[in-house]
Amino acid sequence: MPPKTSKPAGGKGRSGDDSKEEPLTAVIVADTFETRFAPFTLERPRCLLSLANTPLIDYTLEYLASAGVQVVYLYPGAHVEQVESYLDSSRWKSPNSPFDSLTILRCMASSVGDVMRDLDQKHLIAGDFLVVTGDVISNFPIEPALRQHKSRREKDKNAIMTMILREAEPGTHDHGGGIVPTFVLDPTKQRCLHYEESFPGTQFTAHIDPDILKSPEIDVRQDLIDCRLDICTPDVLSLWSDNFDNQAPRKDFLFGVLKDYELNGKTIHTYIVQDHYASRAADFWFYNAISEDFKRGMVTSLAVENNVFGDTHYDRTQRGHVVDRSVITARPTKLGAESIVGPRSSIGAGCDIKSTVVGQRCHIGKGTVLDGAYVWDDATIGNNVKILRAIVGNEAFIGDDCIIGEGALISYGVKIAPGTTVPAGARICKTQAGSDSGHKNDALVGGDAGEGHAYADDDEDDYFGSRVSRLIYEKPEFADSISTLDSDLSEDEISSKGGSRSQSFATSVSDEDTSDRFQHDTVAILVQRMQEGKQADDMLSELMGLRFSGGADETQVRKAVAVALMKYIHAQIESGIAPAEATRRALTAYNTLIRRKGATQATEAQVAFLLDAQRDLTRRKEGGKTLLFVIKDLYDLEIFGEEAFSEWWADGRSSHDPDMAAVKQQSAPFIEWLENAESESESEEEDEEEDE
Amino acid sequence: MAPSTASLTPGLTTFQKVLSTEPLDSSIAFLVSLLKRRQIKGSKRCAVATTLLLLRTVELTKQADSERLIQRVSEVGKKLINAAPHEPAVGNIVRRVLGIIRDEDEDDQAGTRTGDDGTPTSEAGSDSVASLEQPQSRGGMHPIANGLSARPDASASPSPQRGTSRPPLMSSHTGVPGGPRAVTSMFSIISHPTMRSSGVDSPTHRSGSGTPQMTASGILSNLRPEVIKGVKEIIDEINAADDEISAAALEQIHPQETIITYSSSLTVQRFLLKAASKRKFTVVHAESYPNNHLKTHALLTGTHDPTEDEDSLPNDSFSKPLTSAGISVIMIPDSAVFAVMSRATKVVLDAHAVLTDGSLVAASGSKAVIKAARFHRVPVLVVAPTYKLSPSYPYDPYKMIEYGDAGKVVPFQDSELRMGVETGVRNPLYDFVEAGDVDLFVTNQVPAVVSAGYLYRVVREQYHDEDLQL
Repeated sequence: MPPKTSKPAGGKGRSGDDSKEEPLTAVIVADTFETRFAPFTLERPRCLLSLANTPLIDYTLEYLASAGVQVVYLYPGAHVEQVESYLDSSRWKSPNSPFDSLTILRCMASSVGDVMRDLDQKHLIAGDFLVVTGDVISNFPIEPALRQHKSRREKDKNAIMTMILREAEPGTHDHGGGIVPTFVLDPTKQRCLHYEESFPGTQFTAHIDPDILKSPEIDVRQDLIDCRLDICTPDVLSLWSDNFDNQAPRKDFLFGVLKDYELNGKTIHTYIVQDHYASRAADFWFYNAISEDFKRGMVTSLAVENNVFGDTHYDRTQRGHVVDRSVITARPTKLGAESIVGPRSSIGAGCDIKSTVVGQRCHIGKGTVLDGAYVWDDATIGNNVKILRAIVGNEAFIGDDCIIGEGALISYGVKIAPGTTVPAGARICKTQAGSDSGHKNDALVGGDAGEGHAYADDDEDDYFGSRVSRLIYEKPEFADSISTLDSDLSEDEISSKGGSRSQSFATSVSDEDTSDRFQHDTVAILVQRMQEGKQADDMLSELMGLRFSGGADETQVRKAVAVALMKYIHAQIESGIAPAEATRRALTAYNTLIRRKGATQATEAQVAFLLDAQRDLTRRKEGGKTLLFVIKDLYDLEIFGEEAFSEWWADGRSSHDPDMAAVKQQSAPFIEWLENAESESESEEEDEEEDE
Repeated sequence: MAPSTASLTPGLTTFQKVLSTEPLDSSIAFLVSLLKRRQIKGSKRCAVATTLLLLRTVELTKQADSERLIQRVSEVGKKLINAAPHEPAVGNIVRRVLGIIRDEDEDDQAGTRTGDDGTPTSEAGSDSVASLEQPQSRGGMHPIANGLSARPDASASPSPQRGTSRPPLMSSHTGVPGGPRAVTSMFSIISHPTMRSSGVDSPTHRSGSGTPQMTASGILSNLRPEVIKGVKEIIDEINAADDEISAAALEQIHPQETIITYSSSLTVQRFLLKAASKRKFTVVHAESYPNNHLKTHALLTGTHDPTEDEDSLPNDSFSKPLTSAGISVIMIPDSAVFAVMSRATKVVLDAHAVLTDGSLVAASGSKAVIKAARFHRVPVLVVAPTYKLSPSYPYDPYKMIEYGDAGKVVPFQDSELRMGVETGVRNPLYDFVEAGDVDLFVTNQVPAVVSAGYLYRVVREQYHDEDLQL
C-alpha cells in the first residue's frame, strides 16, 4: 500500500537558513514481531501499552521531537487501525505537532526485515535517518552521536550505521527474561566487530572470526542495553533488500553484515551512552525496571510530574508519590512512596498502596492492598483486594476480596468474580488465543460472574515467548525453569511462531488481490524465462525480486513456482515432446527453484507444493499423466523425500473433490511402488537402476 | 550534509526561528514542550523566551484593546507557567507584560480624559501596521542582534538614564485623576514609553517616531505599539541586567577581600570582573559538584566552549576568566566550603529565583554555603536581576525544587547502590534557602542594593497587584 501522503520533506520551512540540509528523518518500527507482551498484545498493539500512564509510542515520539526530528515514518505493524486512530487524535498529528510530517505506512510484514525492505522500496529516505522501535524511552541528546556518525561517514563511506547503546551495570540482562546481547567492540574506533545473542544462565560461546582477534584491542560486552536506536544511512536499506532472509534487526541483520565484512566492507559502529536515560521496554522485565525508574523520578526530563504528555497535573509530593490533582483519595489511606496515581482515579478508605502505578479513571475500593502492581486505565478494583506485583489491564474488573498473585497478568476487560484467588503467574485474557478456545478455566475466574480465560496454558512449555512475557522477577523457581526450557528452545519454534503470526496479520490486512496479482505476474514471468531457456540461478534472483516487490510470503511463492512449472511442462508436452522427457528436462533444470534458499524444506511445505501442482493440473489436459511423471521425477531427482509423497497421498485435501481425485488416480501405481520400495530397499543405487 | 548540526536539537535558537515563521499557536506549543522537556532552562533563557513569545502574542492579537490583550497574555502565560513550574522567571515576565498593558491602558484613559488632541486614525492605523511588520523588518533574531550590537551605545549607562527618566514619569502619573495605581506604577522600573519619556529614552527608542500618539479616538490602535515598545524594553533589560548589576560591584567589594562564590554564574562573574578592574582581591570558588562543576571549571579557565552550550545568549559568549584580570582564584571542592569560610570576608552568590520574603532558590549546595557563612558571620550578597524577583510566597518550598539526572549522583551503572537506597537516588538541582540568611540583594533596579528586609517592596513594585495571582 502506498503511503497516505508523500509530503516533500521539510514542507513547513521550519529550517530557515539550513534549508539545504536534509531534515532529520526517523522511521519508527512500532511492532517488533515478537510476542513478549502477550496476552496484552492480542488485543492492543504493543506500542500503545501504557507505561507510567502514557502509551509507549508517546515516549518514542517525544524523544524524537526532543532530538529535533522533523519527518517521521511509522510502521505500526499489528493493530494498524488502533495505532492510527490513536495518533490521529493525538497532538503528534495536530497542527501544532513538533514534526513537519508524521506518516503512517502500512505494509505486509512478518518481520522487521520485511518492513525495512518495504521502506527501501518506497524510496522515501534520501539522507541519513534514525531507526527506532516504538518503545524507546530515552532523554539523552542524540546530537553528539549524529555528529560522530557524520564525521565518520565523511571519512569512510562504508560506515553505514551507528547503534546507540546504553551502558548499564554488569549482569543487567541476567534477569531471566529474554536474551543477552553480546557485542564485540573495537573501542578505539567504536566499531562493532561481532554480535551474538545468548540466553541468560547459559555459558556464552561465540564463533568469532580469527581476524577480529588481530585488532589490538577488543571489548566483549554484555552490559549494554540495546536501545534499538540506530543512525542509518540509506545503504542500510539496500543491505536489507539484498538479503531478504534477514528478519530480526540484530540477530540476523547486524550479525550478517558483520560477518560479511570481508565481502562488502561495511562497518557498523556504536555510540555508548554513559549518562542520561536510554532504555527500551523490550519485555516485561524492562517494563518493570523502567516503571520503577519513573516511580522514583529517575528519568528527569520525562518524569511523570513534568506532565510532558498532555494535560495532566501530576505533582510529586514530599513523601515521594506522584498523584494527579484530580485524584480523589478517601482517608485514611496509606499512599506509599513511589506510587503514581493517574487523573480522575479514586481510592477508597483504608487502602495501602505501595510502589504501584494506577492509571486514569481507575476505581479502587476500600481496604485494598496494592504492592508493586500496575493498574491500567479504567480498571475497577473492589474492596479488600490484594494485588501483588501484577498487571491489571484496561477496563478490567476485580471483584471484592480477590487475591491476585505475583506476576499475574490480567488482560483487557477481564472480570474476576469476587473472592477469587488468582495464582501467581497466571495469565488471563478475555478473547481466547485461537488454539484452545474450549479451554476455559472457570474455577480461576470464579463462575458466572467472572469473564475471562486462561491464556494458552498448554503452550507454555515449548513456547519461547512465555518465558519473557511475564512479570516475574528474580524468582528462584524461575531460574530453575531456564535450564529445563533451554533444551526446548529451537529456531524452528520461534520461526514457526513468527509464521503463524504473519498469517494472522495478513488476514487482518486482507488484500487478496495483491497476492493474486503477484501469482499471475510471477507465473507469467517464470514460464517466459523457462521458455527462453534461462538458467535457474538467474530466475532465482528474479523470483526473489518479484517476491519482494509483491510483498508475497513463502506460501505464495511456492504456489507460483508450482503453477509455473506445471504450465511450462504442459506447454512442452503440447508442443510434442514426450511427457517423461519434458518433465525430466524441466525439473532437472529448475529444481533449484523448488529447493531455493529460504524456502522451508519441511515435509509440509513439500506436501503443499504437491497439492499446488495437483490443483493446477486438474485444469490441464492429461493432467494425471503429467502429475505421475512430475512425482516420479521429483522423487528420482531427490527433490522431495519419500515422506512428502506418502503424506501427500494420505492428505485429505488431495482427494476431496472429484477433479483432484481423478488427477491423482494415475499416480496410484507409483505410490504403491514407492511404499513397497520403501519397505524392501532404501538404497539409492537401486532407485537409479530402476530409472535407467 | 553540512557539519552545522548545532541547531538540530531544539533550543532557544530553534524557538526563535519557529517564532518568526510559524503561527502563534505552534510557537506556544513549541515553547511549552521545550519548557517541559527542559530544553530551555535557567532563569535568563526562560525569561528571554517568554518575553519573545509574549511580544509575538501582543503583535498578533486582533483588536488589541487592553482587556483582550490582558486576557490573551494571561492565557498564554498560564500555559507557560504550568509548563515550567520550576522556573519562576516565566511567571515574572508574564506579570511584567501584563503590568505594561495595564499601565498603557491607564495612560490611554488618562489621555482620553485630559483631552489630548487626537492624531488622525489613519496614522495610528499605519503605525499598527508597521508594528505588525516589525518582526520581518527587524528580523527574527532581533533580541540577539540587539543584545550584541545595540548594547555598547544604547545601554552603556542605562540605569542612570532610567533613574532620570523616572521622576517626570512619576509626576505624570500622580497628576492623573482617577489613576488608581499611581503608587505602584510610580516605582515601576519600566520606563514607560509615554510621550515624555520617549524623548529621553531615544537611544533605545527605535521606531523613530517620537510624535505623541495619545489619541482620543484610536485607543485600540495606540495601545499596541506602546505595549510592544514596553515588552521590547524588557528584552533589553534582561540583556543588560548583568552589566547593570556589576555597576554596584565597586561599592561592595573592597581591596584585599576574600570572596567566596559558588557554582558557575555569569552574573557573578561579571560582577567580580567589574570589581577586579579597580581592586585586588582573592576569589575562592567552590565547584558545585555534580551538576555544575564542569561549567564552573570552564568558567574559571576561560575555555568556555560555545558549542557545548546549546545556544549561548549574546552576553554569555564573551566572558574572560577572572585570572586574566589579575585576580587570584582558588578553586575548592564543595566539602571545603565550611573550612575556608572562616577566611572569607564576603560571599557572593547567584540565585535561580528570589521570593518576596527574601528566601531564595539557588543552585543546590548554596544552602550549605549560606549556612556556613551564617555560622562564621560572613555577609552574604546575592545578585538577582529583576526577572528573578518572584512575587510568590513559598507555601510549599519543596515544590520549588527541581530534580535532575540522578545518574550524576549514583551512576546508572551502579545499580547495587542505586537500588539499595530505600527511596531512590535524587539529584536536586536547586536548594531552597529560607529568608533571613542573606544580607544584601543586588538587583539591576534603582535602589541597586537592598537589604533582605526591604526586598519585598522592590518585588512588589515590579508587578501589579491584580497579576500576583495568575
